[in-house]
Amino acid sequence: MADNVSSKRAAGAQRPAEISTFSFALIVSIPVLLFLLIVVAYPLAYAFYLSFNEIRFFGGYSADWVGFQNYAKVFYDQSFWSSLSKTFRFTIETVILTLGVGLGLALILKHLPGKWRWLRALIILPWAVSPYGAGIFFAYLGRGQTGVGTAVAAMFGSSQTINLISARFVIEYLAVGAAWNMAPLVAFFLLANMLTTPQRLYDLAKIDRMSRLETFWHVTLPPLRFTIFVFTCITTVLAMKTFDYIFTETQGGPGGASSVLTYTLYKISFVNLDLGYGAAMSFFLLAVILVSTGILYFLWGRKEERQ
Amino acid sequence: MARIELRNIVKTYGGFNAVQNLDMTIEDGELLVLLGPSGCGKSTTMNMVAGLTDPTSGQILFDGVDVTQRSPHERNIAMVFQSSLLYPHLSAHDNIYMSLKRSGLSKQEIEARIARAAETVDVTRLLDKLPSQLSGGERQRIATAKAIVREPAGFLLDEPLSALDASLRLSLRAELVNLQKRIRTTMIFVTHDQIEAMTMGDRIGVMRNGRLEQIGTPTDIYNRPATLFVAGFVGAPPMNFLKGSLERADGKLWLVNPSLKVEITGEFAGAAPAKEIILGIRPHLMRLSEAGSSALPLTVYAIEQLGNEAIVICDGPAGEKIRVIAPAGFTAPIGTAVHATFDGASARLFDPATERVLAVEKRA
Repeated sequence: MADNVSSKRAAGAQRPAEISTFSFALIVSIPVLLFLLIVVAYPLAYAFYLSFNEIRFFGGYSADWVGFQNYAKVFYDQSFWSSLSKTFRFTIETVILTLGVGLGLALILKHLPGKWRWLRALIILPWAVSPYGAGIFFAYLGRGQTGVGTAVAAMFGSSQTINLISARFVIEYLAVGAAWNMAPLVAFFLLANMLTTPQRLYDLAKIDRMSRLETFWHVTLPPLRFTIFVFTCITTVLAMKTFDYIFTETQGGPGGASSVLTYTLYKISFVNLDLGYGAAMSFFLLAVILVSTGILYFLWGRKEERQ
Repeated sequence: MARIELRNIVKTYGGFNAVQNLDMTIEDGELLVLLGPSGCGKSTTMNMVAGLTDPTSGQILFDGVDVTQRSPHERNIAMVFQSSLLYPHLSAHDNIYMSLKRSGLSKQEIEARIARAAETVDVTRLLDKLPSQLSGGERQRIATAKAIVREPAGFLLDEPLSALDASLRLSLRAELVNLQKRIRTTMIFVTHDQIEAMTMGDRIGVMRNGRLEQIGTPTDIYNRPATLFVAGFVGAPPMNFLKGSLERADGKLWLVNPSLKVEITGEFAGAAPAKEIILGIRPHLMRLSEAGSSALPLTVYAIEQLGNEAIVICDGPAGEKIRVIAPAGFTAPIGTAVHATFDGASARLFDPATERVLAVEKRA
């Protein structure tokens, strides 16, 4: 017995040592880690450094250490709080619309009769439009002169121009466009999920005399819940950090009505060139995103994971 | 509990005939097994009995009442599906509860019934668990409890055991039969497994290509198959088939082919001579023998030892596989020439044109 073990060891020693799973993972991910270090970690660290300085470009570049002054200033900045509330309004509306429309689309796509099934592939197209392009597109659609509002009014014989990009509802209009852009992807994943539910479960629901709503709740929804959670998180983060779409569609306007946090940050940092203050405020955005997704996970995600 | 009648049921999907002119009666308290290969229409038939699929034409009657247009719950049937389907996010108890939620019974009555059903199939200790926490056999029992809790007129099972492993299948088979006899409910059991059908059914209905080939007791189906398909599908090892012609000589009837001449006696002795005929004989009714004009020359292909006997699989003279039961422990090298005989009284004769058993005029 002892001989047997030692001979096995000897045989093992002759082969080149196997690397552990962890070392292998480390080796294959080194290029990505290096890349992330360069494009994320360095700018993040630099922004962190900037946030403690006052940066001036006039009269030559200068950086003066100001400690936590930039952070304190954010708390007293009226435009920060109003931008933050716009960000929340845009995010909540976008998430609800995206998930709602995505789920609706998925249900429609699932029940398409055979000869219309190719539409399932076509529905992904809106997602293929870049947010930048979608912004330009929805800007034209929303304007009084060129928009759908005026066109629909004209159809009913009215000569009024209807501007959808109004100070009051511009956030809602932006949310509709963002949902248009993102919902097809959600629909696609939810549809894939739905198709794994055995048809027989619907038969069981019929025998149990479930109503349509109960059938949706007990048969259709359960396998989708985790996907819905994941996309709620993804859409939340995407909506909070959206910039290009809003930049091309409304430029934060009319007035400052759609100046969400990212747009306000852009103006502070790159229009007013107040880089230190902008950097400090951007860490508040980062915190908001982290806390929001954290709350989503603790209140909802953990429950879905256990199933 | 109910007597279920199917009258001239037809179901077509587009141009495809899933079920054709099906007539069948399942007696009150009977366990009928619908047996057939996949795609034979057995599940479609069950779906029509359940009310999940509407027949293209024909009638379904429960205790003489036409229920063809009624929805599943109005028919008061219960169903157990393949792989014991349950709502995955509901506990075992809530899964059973869903069967009675819309029954109009009081809360106490429902709980009492759930407790009784759980007791009947011995799952009381599992009621708090989710389906994902249960084994295949336990899920199967919960699905059964969910079905019997409704006290249904008809109990329909669609291949409920096919996803389970062999030993579990064996014990649940007996459990289901025992349960059916205890609660004396009418049961239709769909399967493609002929052993399951033979061991469980009071009667078996064999289906193929949307048609009922034969319906009868397991012994009947086994000993007196009405068609070539039933003869070949039921029984393990399967029936042997020999081609030949029927000739009358010396007042006796003979099966003749290039390698064999056997006298046909018994049931088919009065059959008319025919050019082409297929003779079917069960492997256990054949035995290895010396060479002779009534012995079939064979070449050993493989031998399967079953412990109590051995199945000798041979190549026949016309290239067909012939199985012969030999005593346990029988061995012979592959390629050995052997001979086998059988009694012409125990053979069944089929007409190759109609694939049905040969019609014999009753002798006065």
